[in-house]
Amino acid sequence: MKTIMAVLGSVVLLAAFAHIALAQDQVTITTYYPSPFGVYSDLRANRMAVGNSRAFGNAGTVTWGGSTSYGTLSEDQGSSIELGGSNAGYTPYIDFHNDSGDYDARIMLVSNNVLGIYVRDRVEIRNTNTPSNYADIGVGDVYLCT
Amino acid sequence: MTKRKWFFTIVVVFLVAWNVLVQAQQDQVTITTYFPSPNGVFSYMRTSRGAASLSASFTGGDGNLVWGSSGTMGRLSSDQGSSIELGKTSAAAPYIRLRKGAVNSIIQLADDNTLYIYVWNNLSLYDFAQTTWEDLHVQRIYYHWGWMNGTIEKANLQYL
Repeated sequence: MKTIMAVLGSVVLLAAFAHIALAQDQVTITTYYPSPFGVYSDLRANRMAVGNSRAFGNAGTVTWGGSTSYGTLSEDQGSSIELGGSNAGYTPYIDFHNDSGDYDARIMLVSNNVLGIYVRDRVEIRNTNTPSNYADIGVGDVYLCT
Repeated sequence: MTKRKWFFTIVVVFLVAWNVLVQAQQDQVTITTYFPSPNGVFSYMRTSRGAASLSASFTGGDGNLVWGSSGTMGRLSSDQGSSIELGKTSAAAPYIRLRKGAVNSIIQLADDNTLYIYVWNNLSLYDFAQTTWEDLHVQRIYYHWGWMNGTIEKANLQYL
């Protein structure tokens, strides 16, 4: 009888230790929304928005900025770009840099009626196929604003 | 102890041990992670700010995306609603290329002082409806083709 009790006691102890061992295998996975950080080598998204309040665009587009932004890498006409936003005071621009300073050239929507091209010296209009040649410009009036 | 008791004892110990081992194996969890994650595909994806580069630093706050290699200044910026910065911190001639099949036009920063606009034939300044020409305001015009090769002054603008 003693032997049986000893065996049963061992079995109970073994089961208890096993239970403890099994409890140590408990896995807790905590998720975060939004995910604080992510790094991918390749990332594909049908629609991508950069900015917590920026609306999604159509399939194949990237939108960016705030809630009033119109900024879109658009799928229209193959691929196009929309800049600016719904605020009438916006003056959206494209800046060109060749150093770490401020822009070296800028194309900016100055007002409803004016697109400004800002350069330090000149704009040259050249032939795409023969870049050493110049190309034409068609305009209404020309104002020499010296 | 009788043989029956020994047999009973061995069977019980074996069953318990076997059960423990099976359960322990069932609970084994292997999580393999990759950094950077090699691939991700989403239907919709939103981020506060982004970088399409493993070397470019995040620039700007919410609503900004940088791209390019080290030293890039390429950024989709939230300034003025949405704007774009192009180029890099040294030795760059950043451009925008507009393609229409084989035809393309390019706007390119040639150097500190010059912005080139490459076109196949001509650059037209239209109104929004593309029905009338719009005006050009410049300081000077240099005419580099045809019979008159030199500066166009106010006095000979009629030759335009």
